[in-house]
Amino acid sequence: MTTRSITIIFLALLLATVFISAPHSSLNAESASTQQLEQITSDSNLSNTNWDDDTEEKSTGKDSALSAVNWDEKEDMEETSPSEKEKGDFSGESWEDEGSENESDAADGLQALNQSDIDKLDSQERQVHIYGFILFIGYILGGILTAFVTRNRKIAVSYPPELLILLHTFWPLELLLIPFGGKPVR
Amino acid sequence: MWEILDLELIASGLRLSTPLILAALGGMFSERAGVVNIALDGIMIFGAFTGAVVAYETANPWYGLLAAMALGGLVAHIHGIASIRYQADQVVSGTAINLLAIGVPAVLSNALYNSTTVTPNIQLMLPIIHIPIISSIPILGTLLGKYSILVFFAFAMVPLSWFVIQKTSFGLRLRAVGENPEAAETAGINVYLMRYYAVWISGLLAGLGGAFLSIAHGSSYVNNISAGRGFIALAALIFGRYTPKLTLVGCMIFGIADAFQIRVQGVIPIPVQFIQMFPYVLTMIVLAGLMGRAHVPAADGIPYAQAK
Repeated sequence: MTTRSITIIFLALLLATVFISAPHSSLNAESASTQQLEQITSDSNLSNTNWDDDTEEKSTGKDSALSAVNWDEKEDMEETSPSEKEKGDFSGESWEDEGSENESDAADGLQALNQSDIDKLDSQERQVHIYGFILFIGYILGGILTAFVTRNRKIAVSYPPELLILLHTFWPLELLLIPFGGKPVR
Repeated sequence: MWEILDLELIASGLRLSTPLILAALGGMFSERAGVVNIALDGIMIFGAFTGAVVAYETANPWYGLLAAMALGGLVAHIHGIASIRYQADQVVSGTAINLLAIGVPAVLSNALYNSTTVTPNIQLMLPIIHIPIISSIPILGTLLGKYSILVFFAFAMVPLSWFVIQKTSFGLRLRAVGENPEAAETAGINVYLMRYYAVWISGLLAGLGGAFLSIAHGSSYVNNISAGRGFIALAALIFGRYTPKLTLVGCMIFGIADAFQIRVQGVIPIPVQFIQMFPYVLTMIVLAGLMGRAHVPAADGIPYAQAK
């Protein structure tokens, strides 16, 4: 019985590892993942960023949204020409144009999100939190209740404690097993 | 310099003490049942990582919270199996989990997000609760008015833990198993099962404490996010003599010390590294000064062989 329970535990861990390492769809999501990548690169916690990841990406030939653009060349061509740089005269440059482009982009962003949209987002967020809180408390209380209900039933007595703890962690499974092992034994 | 000693310091201290409270209460269940749980720090790291990843992938911090709790419980269960079933040295088993926690999240983070040190920022963090009337009162408002929901949860766990340990039959059996497992077994208590429950509960709470760091206090998992808080929680537990109320006091002291060192950086002419040492030095002083006076459960750390 003990060997069997340990085998089950290891199989569960193996399955969990396979699940975690399997390719998943979120990296293929459109704007959300791009925004996240931008957030990572602009995060103030730059000291925690593993700069070597850039070289890893190049060596493995992976493409990312940011590495596809050659920032330096583009900016140099647009901003300064050698003669103007020598003169120290940047008045002919497109700083204001750049700024106005940014301002108009920001203004467009704000106009796109009017008050009703903000209220809608707030309400969605509130819903997520309310349902999430109910689920969280419900899962904990459900686990406690399930453990209490099954404490003197066959399902709890005949299984070794190692497996019982696993069942309590995923108590909906334990509830499914009650019809098969729900007879009180003590 | 004295302007940093204000109510905001205490409020920050209460916030920073939340993961310590959760981990310390978890450690209390385990230690009272007779199983030393050095792995609190490792479990917090696993909880923080799992919480951040699941919250990001599902865009829901509550799923992340549940996943962090579940994984914390499972990791603690591994420690339980090694310590209880196979009677391994409990300190060694806990240290092994701490070492795993240094490497496994980095490997998984690299596999998922091409970064060994940081996961993407989560879209939605846990909510900040504003208590309606209290938040508008001048002093109380600063101290109590606005915290993440997990902060309130952690403080609510203190009286709940006291009630479970002191006033329920489950708590009585738990304490009996930690003081004299032979007598408990003679009385018909399943010593192994009670110890497994205790270690599992310690993992659930420590996982929750870790999730606070990545879902409520921060918005992503960062390498070494716990910064040794699991060990500080253990020190707070010893300071609190394995009781919930004094453990809370210990955690608040360490939390305020942590908040103090953050605020004082750059204000006083001491190198930042020395200031950052302050909570850990305080931990060592507390451990050296109070360790002998704490009543350790009689069978704590001693593997028990069940009668056949």
